Amino acid sequence: MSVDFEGLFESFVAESSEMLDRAEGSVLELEKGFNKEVVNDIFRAFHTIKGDSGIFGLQEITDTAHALENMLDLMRAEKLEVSMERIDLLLTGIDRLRQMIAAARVGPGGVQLSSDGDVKTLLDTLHKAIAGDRQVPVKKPQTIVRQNSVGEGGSFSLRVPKRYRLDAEARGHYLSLVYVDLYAQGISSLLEIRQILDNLEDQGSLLMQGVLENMLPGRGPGADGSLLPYYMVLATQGPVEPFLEHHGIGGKVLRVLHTPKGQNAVPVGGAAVPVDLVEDDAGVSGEVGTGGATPAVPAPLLAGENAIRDDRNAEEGVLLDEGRGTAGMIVKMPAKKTKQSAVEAPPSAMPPAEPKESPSLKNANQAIQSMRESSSETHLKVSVTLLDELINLAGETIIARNDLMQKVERIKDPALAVTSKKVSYLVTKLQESIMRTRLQEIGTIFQRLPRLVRDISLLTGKQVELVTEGGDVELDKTLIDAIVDPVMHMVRNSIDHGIEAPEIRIRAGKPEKGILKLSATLRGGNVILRIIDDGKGLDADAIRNKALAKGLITERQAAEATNEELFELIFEPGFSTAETITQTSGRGVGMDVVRTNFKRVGGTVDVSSEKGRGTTITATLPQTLSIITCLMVEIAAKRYAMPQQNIEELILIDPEQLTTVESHIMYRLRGHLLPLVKIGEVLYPGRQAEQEPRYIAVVRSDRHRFGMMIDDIINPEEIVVKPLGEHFSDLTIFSGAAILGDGEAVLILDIPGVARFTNLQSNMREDLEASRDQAAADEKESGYLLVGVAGNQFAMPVSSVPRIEKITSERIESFMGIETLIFNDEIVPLLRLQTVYRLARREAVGTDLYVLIFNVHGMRVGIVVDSIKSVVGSIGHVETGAYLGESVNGQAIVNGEKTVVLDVIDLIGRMQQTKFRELRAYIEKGAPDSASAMETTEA
Amino acid sequence: MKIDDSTIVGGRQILTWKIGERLFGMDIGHCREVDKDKVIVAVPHSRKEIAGIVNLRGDVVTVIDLRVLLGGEAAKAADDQMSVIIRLKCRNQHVALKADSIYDVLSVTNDQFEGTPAHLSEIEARYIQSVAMTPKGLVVILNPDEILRGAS
Repeated sequence: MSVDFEGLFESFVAESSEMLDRAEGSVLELEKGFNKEVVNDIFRAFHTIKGDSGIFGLQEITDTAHALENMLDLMRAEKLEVSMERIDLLLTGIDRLRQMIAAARVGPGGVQLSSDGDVKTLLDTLHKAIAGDRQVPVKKPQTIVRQNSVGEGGSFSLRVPKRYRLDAEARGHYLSLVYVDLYAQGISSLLEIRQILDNLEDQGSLLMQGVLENMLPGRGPGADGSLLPYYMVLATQGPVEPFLEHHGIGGKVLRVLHTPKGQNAVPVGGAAVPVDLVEDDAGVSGEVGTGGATPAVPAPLLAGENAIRDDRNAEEGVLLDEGRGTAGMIVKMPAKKTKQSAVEAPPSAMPPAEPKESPSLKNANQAIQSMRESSSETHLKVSVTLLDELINLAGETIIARNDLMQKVERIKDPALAVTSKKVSYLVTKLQESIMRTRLQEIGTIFQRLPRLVRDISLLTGKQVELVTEGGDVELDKTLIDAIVDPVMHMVRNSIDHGIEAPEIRIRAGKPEKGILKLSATLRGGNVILRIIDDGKGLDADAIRNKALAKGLITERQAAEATNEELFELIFEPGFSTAETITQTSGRGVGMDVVRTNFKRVGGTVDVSSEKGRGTTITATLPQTLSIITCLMVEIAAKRYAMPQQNIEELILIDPEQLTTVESHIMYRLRGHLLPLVKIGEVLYPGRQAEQEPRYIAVVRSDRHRFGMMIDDIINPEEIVVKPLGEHFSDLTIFSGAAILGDGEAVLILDIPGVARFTNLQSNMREDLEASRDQAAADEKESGYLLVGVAGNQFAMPVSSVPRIEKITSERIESFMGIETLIFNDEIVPLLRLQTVYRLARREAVGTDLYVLIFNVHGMRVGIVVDSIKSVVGSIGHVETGAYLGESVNGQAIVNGEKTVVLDVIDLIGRMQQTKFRELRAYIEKGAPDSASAMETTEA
Repeated sequence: MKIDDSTIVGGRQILTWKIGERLFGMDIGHCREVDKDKVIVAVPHSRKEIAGIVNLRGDVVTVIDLRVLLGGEAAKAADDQMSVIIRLKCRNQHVALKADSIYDVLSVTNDQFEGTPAHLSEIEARYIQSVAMTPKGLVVILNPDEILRGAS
């Protein structure tokens, strides 16, 4: 099975990802200022990735990493300046490497990359960026020619540059092709492979290397079951076999490519491994390699297919610093001959063979050392799958333990009780420890922020300083995975919508740079994560209007809502709309999704804000998933679980202390009034309770403290929390479900959710009652108001008239071309029925008038009438046949007079859309001084 | 009982169950297991087509009441009803369907399938994939994707 090859590949992916993350952090630091240490760190990251990817034959990754490494090398030597452009380039390079590594897959032909042209573009850019500053012309790298995979007949075709043989000849070296199963050497980690290869390369012996793909298990007729079949082309001073022994490599010599004169050809003792060698003329003359091998040299066997030449050889290569080779670490490329040196000096100059400059060697050794240290004995790499299994087992054990304890309790055996308690305790401890294995620092999320903040700041033109605190607070890995996206989204929001542009901030007297602070603290078993910005804060009015416009709240709620309640609305699905979509915040992902995501893992999200000062989002999360302590209670004859952390105390109800304040039921507790929630009625509205609740559980959520009236208390239990499925995502009163020892599922109450739900409920209920009364009133025809206008009689349903004001006509002012009345500091537009219905002209100045002030759709409108005649109980038959005008219900004979029956609400509503529209908009914008604007009246 | 999926050439294996007098079914490849005698815990304030949650092998599984989903009324039964539950195969959700009783696994040949009947209501048409005329009677074949998505 090729598991281990894939295992090694997985190591590569995991390690490279980590390295890239760290490198990114370092690049961002580099932006703040040049620091040689930092440059070194970044350099090493690319260097390692270059080397590792080479092991798997991922040429594009190798090339990209190589180009980046060279850039860093120049920066390190201070031969290239660290500019903004180059920082961007480095970040782009890191992104690209991430993408490529993620796209690499182990497949039938070995490790493949689905490559696309972007890599070429990036490489070009990198090369140009480097070349731009340099006087020395760009050189072509002596890249390893990419070997193609298994040819026909299951053989592997290998092109060996001719000059290796020529070099070996010139220097009197042996040149051999060796085959090694690295895995069989007991080598099982990338680190070890790297070390060995490093070692060999340092000595200038390793010229070519790669995976023999046809030897991978199941991949070709040549497969012999080796797990990491590797080939190496070695140049050695003596015979190769002792050399191999010396280095602890159990390899088989496949072919001797060159034996120095005077030496006997070493017999090849290796097994027949199908490898076809083709000698390649690339680089023989030292010219920039162009395509087309000169088939002058007699090649032993030609491969069935042609090896794929690396086209990049023909392009401008990566600039190399002459005379130094690369940094002297993993020298993947053989002879680093520059054009000049190839021409000037005979091919005998083989830089890798010469002793490296000591700083380079020292770097190499240091790097190896730090690699060793970082992966050594203080920590162990364990697969996440195994940990998941452990968690599941722990969970099941807890459930079984609970069941067992219940049964033990029924058996009154003291000895049994003692032992079972011991076992129970151990199970708990075991579970806690297992939970801790999955803990990861929240800093892993914080790490990704600097890059995000930088990108968004640049995009939006805002200046932001990111401060993080408490990165060492630990969270279960699953939780961290679950909240990464929501946290990034909230950070985006804060910068996009919270923090103002620099000019605006300065004008507001704030420092130009906005501060975005993320802090994590541990409290009880919970992690409190805060995202704080000092931006412009939430605008309660804007929220109110938007919610009204979207029909999320009624007018009554809008009028009565506190700021906190309004802020809650941003969590409503559908709240974030096209107006708030920007390039950065995206569409469709609103705070409702954020809250749902946190809820799904048992957490909460709340927001508080001060206009002009900033916004704070507070999220709480349980530190570990799965298991929480709950109190099992009975509500409406059913079992429910209440999280222990929310429960403050339990009280046996003393009916004397129950009291009702403004239709809310309360309990007198130690001199305070505790609001109560009849949770049984909340869960099962309309149910006939068989018994009254006997207990109160005093609970607290972030903001609210109240009492839940429960039937009975059962017992505390540790339960394994399971999330409720997506079908329940809009249910706020339950935070999850659990499976009890007896196998039954039970719902877990979400205390903050209950608080929110009951608030809404009570508001809704009041509205419902009010409108029910209204409807009843209307139905009963409880009366009509009869008014006179220009000699005509109108009737309006009494229930719709809140206020009657008697005025003189002088009080009528004209504003924006409309007649208005200033009433209680409000601008109330006026309607004259004679104008609407084209009746005779109005009265002379000075006469008393009556204004009927209605509040319709959140706006006050007044109807001017000449006289109030009377209120009548009913008006008899209303004739609806003839059309008399808009908003007219019909005609009736009341008190002997022809009466027009008005639908006042409809009339006013229409006016608000048409005649009063501008005025309404004006009023809503909150004009500073409404009474000051005066115009000559047009009437 | 756990279900094996075996395929037959020229037809499909359909797991069938009864709701009232009607026979419903789904390709057996979409069904994970069938359970009996499980207590479904109703979830207050959840959508009407959700019968509740149930414990299946340690997972909290959402139970969809097919009767309601297809536009009908929930069956009148005692609170602690023991029903037959058909758990569906789904990668990232735990979902099951509630039925009155399991009928059989029928091998339905291709020629026995008919398209969706024209007289279906809009709701039904969404969840119903096709109908099959089998020796055992008419079987209404359900569309698993729509069922999983529709109840969300």
